[in-house]
Amino acid sequence: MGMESADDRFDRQVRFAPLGEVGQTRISRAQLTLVGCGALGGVLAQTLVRAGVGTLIVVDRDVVEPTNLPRQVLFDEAHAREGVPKVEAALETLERIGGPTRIVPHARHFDATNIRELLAQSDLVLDGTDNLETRYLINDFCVSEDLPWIYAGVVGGAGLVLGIRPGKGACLRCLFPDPPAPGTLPTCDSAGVILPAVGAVASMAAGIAMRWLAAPETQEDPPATLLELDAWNGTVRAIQTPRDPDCPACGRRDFPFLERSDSREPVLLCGRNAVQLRPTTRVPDLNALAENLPGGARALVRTAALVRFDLDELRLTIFRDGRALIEGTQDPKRARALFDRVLSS
Amino acid sequence: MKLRINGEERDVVPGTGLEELVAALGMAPDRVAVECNRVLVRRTEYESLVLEENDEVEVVTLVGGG
Repeated sequence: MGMESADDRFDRQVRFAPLGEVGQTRISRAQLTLVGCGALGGVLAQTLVRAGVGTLIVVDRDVVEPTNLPRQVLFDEAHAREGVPKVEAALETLERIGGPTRIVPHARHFDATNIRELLAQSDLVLDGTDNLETRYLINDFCVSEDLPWIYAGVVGGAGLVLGIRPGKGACLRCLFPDPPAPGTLPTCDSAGVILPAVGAVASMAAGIAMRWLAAPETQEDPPATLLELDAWNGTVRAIQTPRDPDCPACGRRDFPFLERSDSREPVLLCGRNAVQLRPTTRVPDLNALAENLPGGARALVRTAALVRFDLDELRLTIFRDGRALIEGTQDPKRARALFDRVLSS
Repeated sequence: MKLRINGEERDVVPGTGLEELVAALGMAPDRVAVECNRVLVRRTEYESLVLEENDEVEVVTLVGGG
């Protein structure tokens, strides 16, 4: 009670015998990459930072907005009002929690062109993404590099968790060889999502992560299992998932997602009335852009990371790397037309 | 014949195949993982697997949000 020093910070965690001093030391030396720090990613980041991991690399392309607040635990109203990049808001909150973790934020779009740089040095990859395209990319990379990762997905009141140790149990493509066509599955946008489901799924994934970091593999490890956690109905289902020797990824070692960059394709963001446009070949000079806005542009915000303004009832945020977020539309053509107009002004 | 699907008893026509069942549940085979009597069903077996009385089937749908 108030008398414990920083040395005692992890006392209650270390007293948990399966983790112990040895486990804590291993956790404190581990490096993790977290892809996405919104709903699932926020709970994952908070849990792993509180657990005292050595290094946490956090990648996210989005900015905070008010509809995030009911479920994205790292963000507050000030972040939403200012539209702060999620990784910057996450860093601020996580640094307030404190502890020994080194946090490395990347306000970038994650794709096949930078996956090696962001994942290859890590011991474990955590899934805080909001789309299957990115998860299939992570699966291909992690299976090809024999790197463990933990799939987590949530929508509505329930979600799934699958811890993947390549070659040991099923990988994502053992169970679902090909991603469904875009638009065929419910998203947080179409079906909504609630924090208890996010918390249940992300906490279970974080627990698996801590065990994998703290304890070496043993024969007694539970078999690979796909978990479905339903926080609305209060139900849990578990399916044992041995690997499929004929799996396209971990069986036949065919990794098509590593070859796809799609770098010019606009992306609709999950749960957002927004379109992301990837970097153009010509990276804009943000200072020049801020000084030469097209007529009608209002509410200019200029920070080190971005330029933001309202135009034609849409809100444009343009990042240092040339990436743009167009809020207020789900029409990629309208977003692209407006962005091109701004860049040519 | 009676099956137990996701914990609930359901009546289906004898001889129903797994693929038919998944379709009848309004699900697409490429978006589900299926366990029959506590054993994961390989995707290549969906077409040939014919369900039997009292089979316990768990159908889990892929989730893309987050």
